[in-house]
Amino acid sequence: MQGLFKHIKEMEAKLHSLMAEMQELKHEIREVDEENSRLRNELAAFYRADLVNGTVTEAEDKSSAAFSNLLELYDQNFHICNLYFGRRRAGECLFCMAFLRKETEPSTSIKVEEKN
Amino acid sequence: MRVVAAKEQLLNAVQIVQRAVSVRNPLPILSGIRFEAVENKIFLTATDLDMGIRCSFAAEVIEPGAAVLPAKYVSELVRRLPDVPVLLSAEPINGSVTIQYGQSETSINGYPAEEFPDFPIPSGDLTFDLPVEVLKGIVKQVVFAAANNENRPVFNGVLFELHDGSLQVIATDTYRLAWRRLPLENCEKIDINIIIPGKTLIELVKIIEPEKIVNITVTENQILFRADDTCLISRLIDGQFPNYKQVIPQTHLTKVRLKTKELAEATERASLLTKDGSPIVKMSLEQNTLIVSVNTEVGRVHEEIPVFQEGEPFEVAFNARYLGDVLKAMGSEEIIMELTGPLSPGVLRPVDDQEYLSLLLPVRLRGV
Repeated sequence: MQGLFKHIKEMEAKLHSLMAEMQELKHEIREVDEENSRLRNELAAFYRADLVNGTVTEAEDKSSAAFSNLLELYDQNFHICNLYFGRRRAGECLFCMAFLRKETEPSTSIKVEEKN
Repeated sequence: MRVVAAKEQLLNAVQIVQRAVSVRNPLPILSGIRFEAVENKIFLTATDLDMGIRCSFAAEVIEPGAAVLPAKYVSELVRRLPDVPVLLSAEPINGSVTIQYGQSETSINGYPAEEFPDFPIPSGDLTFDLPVEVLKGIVKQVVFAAANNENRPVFNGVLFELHDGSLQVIATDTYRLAWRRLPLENCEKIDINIIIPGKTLIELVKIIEPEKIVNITVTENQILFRADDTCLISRLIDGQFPNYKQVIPQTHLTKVRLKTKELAEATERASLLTKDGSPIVKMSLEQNTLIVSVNTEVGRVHEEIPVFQEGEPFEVAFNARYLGDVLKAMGSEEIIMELTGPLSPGVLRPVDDQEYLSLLLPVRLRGV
């Protein structure tokens, strides 16, 4: 009987240590997740600032550094649209493309609206 | 509950409501169908809490009451019953139901009827009618472009924008987009902007008989579709649908008119030689000929389709599966394809219908 109690105690200790490890992992995941969204926001802010500067100083230049950077980011399979900026993309994205297109063809009106 | 019902009507109702039965829900009672006998009618209800279907039909009610039976067993049993009147008798103490047909009977253990979730029919002033054929058209032409991804619920839905008597229906999974506009009579004063789950619309057109008119009622977070004795209630998708208008190109460099079937068949043949994960077909246009080609380690396809061309020659690549879906949805013998450049989606529309279009993004080759 004593042996059984000892065994249970050992199991309890193991469970406690597993629970503690689990909590630690949860904590780490939360930290990584927070850091991830912070980095994503920073990246978005960086590109936004870059774009603003780009349009002010090189308004005529369609292949600005900012545009190339965005294109490069898109080519590395990241979204650059306002819906999912910085997230991994699985395929082409209409909204990213529309954003890139806006950079190359600034004047857009909508065909669908024209018919209204 | 004791009620006598005709087998055909019972089977029809079971098969309709079964579409809302939840197979993977942690609440076991949601795998059941609720039977309720009231006055001279029997009501069948099923729900997965996102969508619910209720169907009723006339029956001889001997004793009113309710019971919940597992859909899996009751539907299989009713399907196999002989074509005779069926007596359903519920045992309120243990929730079991005895189904008697001719000289035989089967007893199925059920769930406590009072534990089945409430199924309140929403009411409101925002109500309008749509023929089921129109809804079928919407499902065929638009819903295919909706996503099926739990992480992005907004894209799993179809945007219904009703304004000034004009209904615009849009779905996109961010890879493609389908847009349809249709005028609605007697709806000039209704203004709605809602996202209906694509799954709801697909199930709806399956359960409503052809040539019926569906009455639609919209509330803050629910939508009710009602036709005769069947009604379907669904949650609306919460969230902001993205500004789809920004993705529709306003100009084009090239316009091509071609036969839908010819392009669909050529694409299908060409895609046979593509890799499973990337069914990419190339298209190049020159001198009124569209060349569909694929060149892989398996082999080579080269198909030429005569077309009417306006504008510059082009070379573009599309995902064959997506292109096939779009072509199937066109519903027209001839289509117009408009292309602008590698950053712009191709716009496909039926030749004789300005109220429908579908966008398809070319597969972008590096180094534009």
